[in-house]
Amino acid sequence: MRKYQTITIMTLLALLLAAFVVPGMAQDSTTLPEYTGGPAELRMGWWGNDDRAQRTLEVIALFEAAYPDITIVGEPNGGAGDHFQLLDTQLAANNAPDIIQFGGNWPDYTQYLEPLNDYLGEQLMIDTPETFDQAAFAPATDADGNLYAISLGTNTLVLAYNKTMIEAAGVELPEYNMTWEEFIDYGRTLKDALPEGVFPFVDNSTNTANYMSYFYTQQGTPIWTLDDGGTSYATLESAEAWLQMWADMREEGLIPDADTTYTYTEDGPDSSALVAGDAAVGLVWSNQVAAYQAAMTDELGMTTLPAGGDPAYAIQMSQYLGMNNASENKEAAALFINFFVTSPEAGAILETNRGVPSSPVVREAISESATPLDAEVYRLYNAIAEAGRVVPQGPNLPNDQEFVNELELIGQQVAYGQSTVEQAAQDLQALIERLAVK
Amino acid sequence: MKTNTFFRHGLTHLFIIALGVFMIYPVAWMIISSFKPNNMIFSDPGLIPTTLTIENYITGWQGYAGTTFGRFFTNSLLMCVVAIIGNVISCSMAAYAFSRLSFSGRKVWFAIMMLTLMLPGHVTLVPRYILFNTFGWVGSYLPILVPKFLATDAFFVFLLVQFMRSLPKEIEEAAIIDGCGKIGVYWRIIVPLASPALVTTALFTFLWTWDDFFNHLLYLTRPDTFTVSRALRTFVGDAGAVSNWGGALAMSTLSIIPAFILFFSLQKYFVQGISTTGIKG
Repeated sequence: MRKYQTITIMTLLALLLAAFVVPGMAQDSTTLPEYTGGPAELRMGWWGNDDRAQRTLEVIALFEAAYPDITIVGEPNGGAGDHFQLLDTQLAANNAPDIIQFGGNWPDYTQYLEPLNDYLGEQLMIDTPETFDQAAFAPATDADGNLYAISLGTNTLVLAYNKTMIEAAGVELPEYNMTWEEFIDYGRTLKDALPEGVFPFVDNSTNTANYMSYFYTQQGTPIWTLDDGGTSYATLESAEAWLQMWADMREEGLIPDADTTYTYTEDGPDSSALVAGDAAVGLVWSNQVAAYQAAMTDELGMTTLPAGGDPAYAIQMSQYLGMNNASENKEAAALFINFFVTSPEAGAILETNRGVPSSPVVREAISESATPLDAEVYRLYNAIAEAGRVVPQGPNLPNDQEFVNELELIGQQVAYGQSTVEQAAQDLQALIERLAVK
Repeated sequence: MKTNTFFRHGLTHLFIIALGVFMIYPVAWMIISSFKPNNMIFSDPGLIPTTLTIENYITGWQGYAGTTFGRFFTNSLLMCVVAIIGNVISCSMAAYAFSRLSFSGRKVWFAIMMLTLMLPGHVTLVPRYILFNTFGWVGSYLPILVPKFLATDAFFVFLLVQFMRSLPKEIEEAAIIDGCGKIGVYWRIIVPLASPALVTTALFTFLWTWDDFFNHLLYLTRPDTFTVSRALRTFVGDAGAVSNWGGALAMSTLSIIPAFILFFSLQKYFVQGISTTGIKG
């Protein structure tokens, strides 16, 4: 296990470094794989706002120019919720699009998805490290060994901070790779400098399972691994350590009181203590930072999650493209997916809209046009890679949604003093044990 | 005694006004926020804006995937007009048959119709989708509009049946004596007398078609066929993309205007229709 992990980490590190330091191999559109079928019309379904729809439709037009025999009909939906409601109905009626965008939930759809292994090297020219991060296949491969989806990009958790506010308070901006102790000390410095009623940190103890899961991995007690078909190493000590740390911060006034904390749902810029100016540093997904920035007048910056213990920083796959196994023209569908993820021209249009692309060639092509926030994400990726903190993306605990919901309740009970940290830690451990065997 | 009544009425009014303010707050917030710059909507969420802009209306109007809101509003309005025509004609004819004509199995058919009213919509969702898909109608307005011409909105049939049952039979008998056939009675007597209920039907058809989202989501797949409700949802993207909240609020504000105008201009008929049929909306 250890050895395997080290190898994977080294590979991933090498890939990341190669991605950002060494320019990728040049590729032009003449090397696109050939299409052998007749005229075909395919449908592609995705979710996202107008910006993403425009970009995607432009790439479709570009693809149609490169493959004149193939027509792609774009079927965009606004939110992910709408997308999957519609998709479920379409799949039940055998009328789903040929090419479908997924999030981390693709394993729920494997019965409808075409295994893509046989297309690698044929239509999907992503089988070498020069063309695609090979580490991106693991999170898209099911237990049956089949590759079901192709990564559209990666993101990771970052701590976004209110640059304007911290500078106005006369405090230095947080550095990369601070340890937990340094981070909490930094909070104390902020606390003294910030105006009354503004807290250093957002209470991110239980609003998402990812942060806690990161901490557990640092403690050497990962909540969920695929060892022996699924094993949890979670311990009561880790639960206590996590909850106690946040309880102490609440006590010290480093995070807002319970009432302020639960005024916000902390699931997007529209309900966030960071955006509302109640706190200076909060946990955000790297590809969401732009949305947070757009919702506020103060300038945002970002730094890494606190370091300590084992490496735990996972670069996550944000979205995927999958192929409907009922598609009538799978060759054309595979060609489209290939074009979407490997063509530098397509990448120049899509940019980092779906996360940082997994193709080194595409990353190279878009690095010049990166927005300041994108550039900061690249810097942060490099910083954690250089510090040796990156691990492969681990699986979520089964019944992830239930875990997230129950976790939030446990957090609220502690925050409102309804249960002690010891009691809550026992509840948390019992919850993890229950969900692990379910 | 008098001051007591005054006091009581005052208290009632105070309560009603407070409730009204409470209910109108989200709408007021939406309208005011639609004039705020995008980066101040959530960082300065109060009701009194510090900066005003109409930028949101301009960016919002640009719509989705190259289709502007002008098209979405046209789509929605056309769809509503056709839906209203369909519902008013088909539901009133069905209701006339159920309330006045005697035909075999009338009670059974009426019971079946009432059953469709009680059936949760989700149950028929997938079968309906499969049905319309085999017709090749998915992607067009047909799955939404054709059923309106077949009196499938049982609520309106029931509402009109209740209303027509309350009409005096003598008028119809007089018409029959004067030589009216069944269609003559329907057209010359029932339709004019049932106009309050028909207005209610039209109004509710408008509101429900205008507000409907799920059918539009299922059956309208190309952006140029989107309706307002479908287009509004496209503002709220996912984590990966910057969402234009200002545009969403601006277009939401515009989208309530037609419903607002219709409701207030037809309120008189609407209340009459509801109160005389004994059905509360």
